[in-house]
Amino acid sequence: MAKKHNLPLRGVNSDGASVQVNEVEVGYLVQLAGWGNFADAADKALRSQSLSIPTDYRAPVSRGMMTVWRIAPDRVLVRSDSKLEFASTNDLVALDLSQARVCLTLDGPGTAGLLSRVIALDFDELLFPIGTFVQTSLHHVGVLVERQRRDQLTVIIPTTWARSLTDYLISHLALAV
Amino acid sequence: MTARRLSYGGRIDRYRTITVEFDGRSFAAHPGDSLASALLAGGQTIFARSFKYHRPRGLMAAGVEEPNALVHLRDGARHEPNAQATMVEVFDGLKATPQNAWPSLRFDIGAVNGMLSRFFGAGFYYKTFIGPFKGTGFWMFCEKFIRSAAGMGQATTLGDPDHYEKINAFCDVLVVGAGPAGIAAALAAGRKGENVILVEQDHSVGGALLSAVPGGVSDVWLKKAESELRDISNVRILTRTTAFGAYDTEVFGLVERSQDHVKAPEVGKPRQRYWLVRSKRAILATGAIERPLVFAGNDVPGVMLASAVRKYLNRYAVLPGDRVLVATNNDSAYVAAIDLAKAGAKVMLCDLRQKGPKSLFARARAAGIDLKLGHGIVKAEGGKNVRGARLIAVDAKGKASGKEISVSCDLIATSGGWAPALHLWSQRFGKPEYHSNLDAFLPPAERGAFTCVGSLVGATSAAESAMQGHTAGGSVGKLDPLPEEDDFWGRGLLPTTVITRANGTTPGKAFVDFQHDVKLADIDQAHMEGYVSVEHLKRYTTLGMAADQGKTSNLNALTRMASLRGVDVPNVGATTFRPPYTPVTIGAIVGNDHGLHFQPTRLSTIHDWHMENGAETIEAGAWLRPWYYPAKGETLRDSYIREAAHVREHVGIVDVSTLGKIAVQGPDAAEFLNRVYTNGFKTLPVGRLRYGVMLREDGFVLDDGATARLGENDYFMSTTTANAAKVLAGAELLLQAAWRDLKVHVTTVTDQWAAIAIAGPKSRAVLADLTGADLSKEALPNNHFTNVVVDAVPCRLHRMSYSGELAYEIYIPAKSGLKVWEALIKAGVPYKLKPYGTEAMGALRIEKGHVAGSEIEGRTTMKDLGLEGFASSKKAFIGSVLRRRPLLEDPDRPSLVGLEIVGDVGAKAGSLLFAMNVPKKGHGEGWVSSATYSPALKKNIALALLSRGPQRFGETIEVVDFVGNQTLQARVVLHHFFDPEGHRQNG
Repeated sequence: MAKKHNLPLRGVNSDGASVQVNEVEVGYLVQLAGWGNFADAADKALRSQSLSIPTDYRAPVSRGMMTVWRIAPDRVLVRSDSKLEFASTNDLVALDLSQARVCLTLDGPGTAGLLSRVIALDFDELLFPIGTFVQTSLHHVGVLVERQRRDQLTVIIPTTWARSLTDYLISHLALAV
Repeated sequence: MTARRLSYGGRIDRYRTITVEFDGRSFAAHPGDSLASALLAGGQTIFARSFKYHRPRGLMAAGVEEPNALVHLRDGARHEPNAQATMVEVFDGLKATPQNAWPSLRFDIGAVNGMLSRFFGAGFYYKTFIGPFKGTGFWMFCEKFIRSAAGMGQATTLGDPDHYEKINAFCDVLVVGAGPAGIAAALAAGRKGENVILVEQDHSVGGALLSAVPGGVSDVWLKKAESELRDISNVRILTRTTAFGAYDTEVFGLVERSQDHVKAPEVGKPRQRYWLVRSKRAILATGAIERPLVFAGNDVPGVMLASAVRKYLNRYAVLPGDRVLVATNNDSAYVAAIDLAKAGAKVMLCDLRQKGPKSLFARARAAGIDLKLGHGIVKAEGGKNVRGARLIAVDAKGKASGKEISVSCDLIATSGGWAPALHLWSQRFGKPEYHSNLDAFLPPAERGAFTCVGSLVGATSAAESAMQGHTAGGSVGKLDPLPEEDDFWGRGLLPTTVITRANGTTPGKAFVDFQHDVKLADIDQAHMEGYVSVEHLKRYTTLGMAADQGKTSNLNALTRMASLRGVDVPNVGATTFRPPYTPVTIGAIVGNDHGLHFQPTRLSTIHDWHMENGAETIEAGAWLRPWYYPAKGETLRDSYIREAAHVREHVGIVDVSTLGKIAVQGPDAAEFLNRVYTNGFKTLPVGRLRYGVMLREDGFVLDDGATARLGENDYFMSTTTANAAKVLAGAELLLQAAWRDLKVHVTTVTDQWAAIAIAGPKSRAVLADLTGADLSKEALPNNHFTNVVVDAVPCRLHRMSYSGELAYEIYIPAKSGLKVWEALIKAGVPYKLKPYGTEAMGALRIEKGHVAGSEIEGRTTMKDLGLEGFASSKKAFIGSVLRRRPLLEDPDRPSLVGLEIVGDVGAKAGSLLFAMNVPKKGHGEGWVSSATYSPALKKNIALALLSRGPQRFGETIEVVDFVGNQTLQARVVLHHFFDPEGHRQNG
């Protein structure tokens, strides 16, 4: 069974660069999905929260503690620190996924190096700038990765995979004793 | 062979002396040495015994092409077989042992094979074990002897104590090979600002420049270039790294031996690292490998490649012999001969060519070399050491004539031209082009995103190689000049590598593939037996296979085949190059993905409780589930029987968070469900749930589960644990491809909800106490749900039963799963509530006759499973047409029944069913799908699919387990063993 770790933990990757792994609250997570003129319908719904629909799949729209990620042509994911009410309509359905995800933060100069050992992506800051995100696979599991700072990224993981993937990430670090 | 370390020169650290051990002997070495150079300096001549004939073998090469000197490295769990001594960096305490020799390297009993060589020729296995011996018995008998006599090193069965890792990297330019061409390319591209990765398999950059006499102009060039390279931040230099595979879209596999050069890896460091590099373009500067000449005795220790001799001399300061015979068909061996002569060796050089470059001849003569033009070696003399050679005159076409001349020598250095190391290019693009002037296959300089430079494309000098690299890198900045040389192998090369007597024979064994003991005679024999394809030749003779991949043998074999067939080399063709270029350890390929991390594990949010309370777990797909909770001393059987009986008598809870859960939302959700389920969902009221069956398009059952209508356009579908992903993917495909007009979204909510089943006669009481809700039969009948609150957690309570008991499923926001589970445990104390695992859950559902994955296994229809009543006749649904195929309506098809096993021994799932008193042959009339001991019935029962099953109730049949050699009798009954009327679950 995957090992349970008491987070936060700090370790170094094999390049000797340190990383702190921590779990933070997801807060509230709602998926909006729709059809046809989804973009308009979602934009309208999001504007009620002073948000808007992102125009691409790498750059989220953020306001305060709220973030909107466009995760598919007809789906967005909205993360917030307080519960947002979105009513389902004929053009749009809302689904609470707050319990379905766990959020890890990876912080430190070894963060990009650690992630490059487990994810087939280029974490160069030019190609993955601060404030952008990707949806990708981490050890075969779909995750959402967002760059907060040069050396800080968050990884949003499906809840039931979180223990295993956290352990997998940490297995790439030599832990500080 | 009288090798010795020179007191000067070399690129070794003479200030430090370390000790390495080989075959029980200690050898002094210096940092910078390879294991091969250290042993050679210490006078070791025999490094290994050959694969088949156990012939003594010495060093042939000095790099990755070495076919002979394979050794065991280290011991214990770090024991490693088949390490090339030429590629092993020395470290203090390095321990190596010979392989494939018994009782010792110098006296190997297996050498008797050499005397039997006429029986061990090409196709030996095929011929010996086919024919008079019927069956495989004779082969099975002989196999263990053959395997122990032949082969290479032995792997350890101990667990690898080291750690490996994989890493993804991206770059603009991947430069493979850090010789002059690669360095110049990386410099130019780096200066241009491109993100460059420069890969070198050696621990130092420089390539062929490291084989030059130290202190020369090329060293100045190298030092300056390396210094600049290391200062460019956008250039990453990976030494000790081999690019072993080139794949589509410019993806490359590299293996970095990051800690192989130390006794044990540093803490936290991987022993090896597997790089997966994605590059926009690639510059291949992989150089070329010298070809050996083929003559009798060319494998006697002391016969080496001329370039290797030069490398040992100039890089490692080891003079491999005092009386050296250099044999060549081209110019490149002259520099080796001249360096040897200058180092004090007595050198004779026999050149197969009658004519050659006057400048080189003059330099050679000036160095005191005895030149013998128009001569080749027909035989090397010696057993465990070269003692001499017999020369023969050859004509301008390379054909031997005249009398043989004996010469005395202790080292033979040969050069039969060069074969460009085009493996990576060929892995990516296929067949290269043959260039007759170079007698070699070459890749084109440009193709796609690949640029080939240097010796790989026949550059005539280091200077030209560097120039090509500079151009390929983008021609940015000034390229410092390297000296022009006059030893280009392609100038005036005589394309003869095989030297025979005038009658075409060799006076002894002449080897083409040294690693696999493939002789010239084996190729000739294969040809005589009708082999014309080079791919067939390879497999028939084993030439070019395994670790070596034919680096020194392929071209010589091809030219021999061409000669025998009387065609040009291009008409024979080249074999297909496949990754890896050099062997890659399994550890590097695996990285961290082993043991617990072979694949990710999925755990419910209640999992910790199960572990803390002694549950034994079982894998269910990616999930790890509580299997049973053994009391002290209990077996699995004891536990599940106790747990299942407890549920029937009191109440139990089981973690069913693993069930697939899918949110089906949108105005057309009901229509969607109507199409995917066989039964109707449009009429399902809000607040109700319904069991449904779905089919594949071909009419077989795909999955089943219950779906709840949460709102007008909002459904909660549950699937089996095993089929959750399949059902979701199928639904997505239908919505995105076939039913784009439907306004429906499906989203997995398996992670959003934890789920617990509460079953047993006291389940209602426990839940009523816990929630305070009215859960009476009238308030919450079967197949209804209600919202409840448990310990301040809002949950949804479904009334449904899988066990046949009064039962509920409670769906909990996942992160509160543990809290609600613990609340249930606490509330259940007065009612003797106990947890139960999947084994007891299985026993309960078999008693009730509910189908599961063992019955829904892809070959069963609704009719087979007694679910026909769920198929609506009023609507179409997936599979509704093809389920009516005559074959699927055949009344003789096996259909679901129950079996009551006669006696105390239970049946095994997979057992076959036969009528009484018929021969027990073939597949029988059906099979057991699930079996258990029923605590409720106090007997062994099973679910089975039996031909014409429902018509055979009451019949006694035989249940045969051919694997376990067990035959039982069973009575055929209705599959609903327990409470067939459903009083309990509906009560």
